[in-house]
Amino acid sequence: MQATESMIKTRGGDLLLRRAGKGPTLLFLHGAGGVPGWLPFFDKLSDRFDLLVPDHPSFGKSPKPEWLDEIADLAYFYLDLIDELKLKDVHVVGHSMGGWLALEMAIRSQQRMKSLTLLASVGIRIKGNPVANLFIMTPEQLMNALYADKKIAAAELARTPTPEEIDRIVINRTSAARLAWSPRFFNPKLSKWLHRVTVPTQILWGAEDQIVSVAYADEFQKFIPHATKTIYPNAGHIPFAEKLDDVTASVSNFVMRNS
Amino acid sequence: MKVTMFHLMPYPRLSDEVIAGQNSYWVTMPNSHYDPKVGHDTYNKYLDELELCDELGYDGIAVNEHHQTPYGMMPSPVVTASALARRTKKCKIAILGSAFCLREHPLTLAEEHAMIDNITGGRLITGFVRGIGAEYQVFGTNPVLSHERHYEAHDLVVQAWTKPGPFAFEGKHYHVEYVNLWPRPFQQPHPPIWCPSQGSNETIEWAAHPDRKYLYLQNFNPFSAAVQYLNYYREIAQSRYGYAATSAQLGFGSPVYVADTDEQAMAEARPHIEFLFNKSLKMPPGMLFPPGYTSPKSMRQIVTAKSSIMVAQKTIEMLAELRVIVVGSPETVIKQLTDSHKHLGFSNFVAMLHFGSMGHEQAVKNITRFAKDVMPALQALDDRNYVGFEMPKARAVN
Repeated sequence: MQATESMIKTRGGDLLLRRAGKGPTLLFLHGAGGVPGWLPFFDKLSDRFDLLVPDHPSFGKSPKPEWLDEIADLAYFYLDLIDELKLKDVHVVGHSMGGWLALEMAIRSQQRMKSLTLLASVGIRIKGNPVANLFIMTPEQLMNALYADKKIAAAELARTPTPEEIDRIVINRTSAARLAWSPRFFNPKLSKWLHRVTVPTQILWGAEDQIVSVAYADEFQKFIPHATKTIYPNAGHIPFAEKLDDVTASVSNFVMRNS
Repeated sequence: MKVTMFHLMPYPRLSDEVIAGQNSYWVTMPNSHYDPKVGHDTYNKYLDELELCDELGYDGIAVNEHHQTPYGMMPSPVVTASALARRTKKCKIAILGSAFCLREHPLTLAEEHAMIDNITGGRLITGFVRGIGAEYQVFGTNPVLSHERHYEAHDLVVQAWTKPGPFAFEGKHYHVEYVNLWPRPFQQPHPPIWCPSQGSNETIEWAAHPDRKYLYLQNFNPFSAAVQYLNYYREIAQSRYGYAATSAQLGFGSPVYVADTDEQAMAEARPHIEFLFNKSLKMPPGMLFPPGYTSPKSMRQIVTAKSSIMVAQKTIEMLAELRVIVVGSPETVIKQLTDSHKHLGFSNFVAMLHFGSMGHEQAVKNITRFAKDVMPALQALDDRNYVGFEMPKARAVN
């Protein structure tokens, strides 16, 4: 289903929000690279759910508000937004940096959160196993690290990005660095509060993830023991691109089960 | 005009094989290639070269700061300047510069600079820099906050130097309950502040502000860029701030090599200058330009760069043609620098007389020759030799 895309006014400033579908409410929180638009994954999810895909403040088309300094600010912003939009029973799906954001929300308040899906999430650190250094990689290195299927990486690299795309990449890169330059894509204090995550949680990961190693799936499960875990073979850091049907099924079944 | 000798203090040349085996000369070049015995020997020879400058009548000697790279062995320019403080008598000691904003506590640097100023009886010049992008890979300082930390660190340091203490400094990035420096700087109100740059309108607009009027030092760029930036300083002072900037607010720097003839100078300088530009600046673009450190325009080039290495190979002829460097007989060098001064009117020239892989004897020869056969002609230059500044009628400021 095609989404409406609009700039909405919130307490924290303007926000670009894509929304489509009917059913249980699903909030997708994007990663450091943002979203290029309405992806096939969103299309499929919006067949069964009321799907919201915002550009985080300072990412994509959402302007940078004065108040934004750190990931906790975004967590409070989204908790406020859920109240403002009068959303109830929200199923949060966070990808990569969006997973970290979802966890920062969950440890603060799960009052309106019905379930949590962590997709190749960052936010904690396994000593000796850092997240790949996205900020120093060349475009070739980045694409090859993102996808298990090197043909997809090659096709992406062969494409000449539009000026709008380049602007989006620059904006998102800068915004991600603001939140995650140091400590690099994690909050050293997060893991000691992860016991507060009590909503049904699932952990989804690509077995070949070269940005955030699949070892993190186990690590998150240590802190959130009730979480279930699904690992997709032959998938990289964006499993919903490489394993679209499988990831859609995992999310849909999990959300339906917990609605 | 005042003449200052600037030293980068590079580690002696690593083999081409070692360099080819690494994707960067900075940050990640393994320090197993550092030999402390070589380091000891090199530091002392370099310090000897700078001390020699004081004896030869240079107006100043200058040191700088870079981290975790054989490109320069001065992670702390305060240490280098301190080593020089008591061994030199007349020349200024310029720290070009200190990266105050990389520190979690710039007040420590304010204290250290004040100490050097006291020990030398007011011979310190303090440079304020942000460090190059690679520095942000080392300390974890957020490059997105680089500018705001830079400005705030400056405010903290200058207030610490000038405002009667104790007082509280209540900033966004720095918060200090008691600012109350012992010692206060020797120079009043504080040591001269220079802003070394590779070319930045933002830095110029900040330095030229009537509250500051700091010296802007254009370093290691083609002459055309020096024309653009130094004139921009005079232009912005006039058009935005309503005053005429003086030549005292402008400096210009470049590597210089002098020998009997132009041919001999080119031949002797070639391996060292080409090493400096082609080998020792090797690093991935993402390392040099972390997000937020630089303008969105530069960032666009980085995210679309197909090559993993920024440096295009340069020959000494190309660099000399662009006047990034000044190489030749004393007559050639005087002629070129007199011409640069004639068009730009800067009050300070910063000469890098050791560069790249140059050995000690050759550096001493260059420093001595320059002092004897070039420097007096430069020190005689002043505004009478400058054509003067005319406001451009219409120019797009980018």
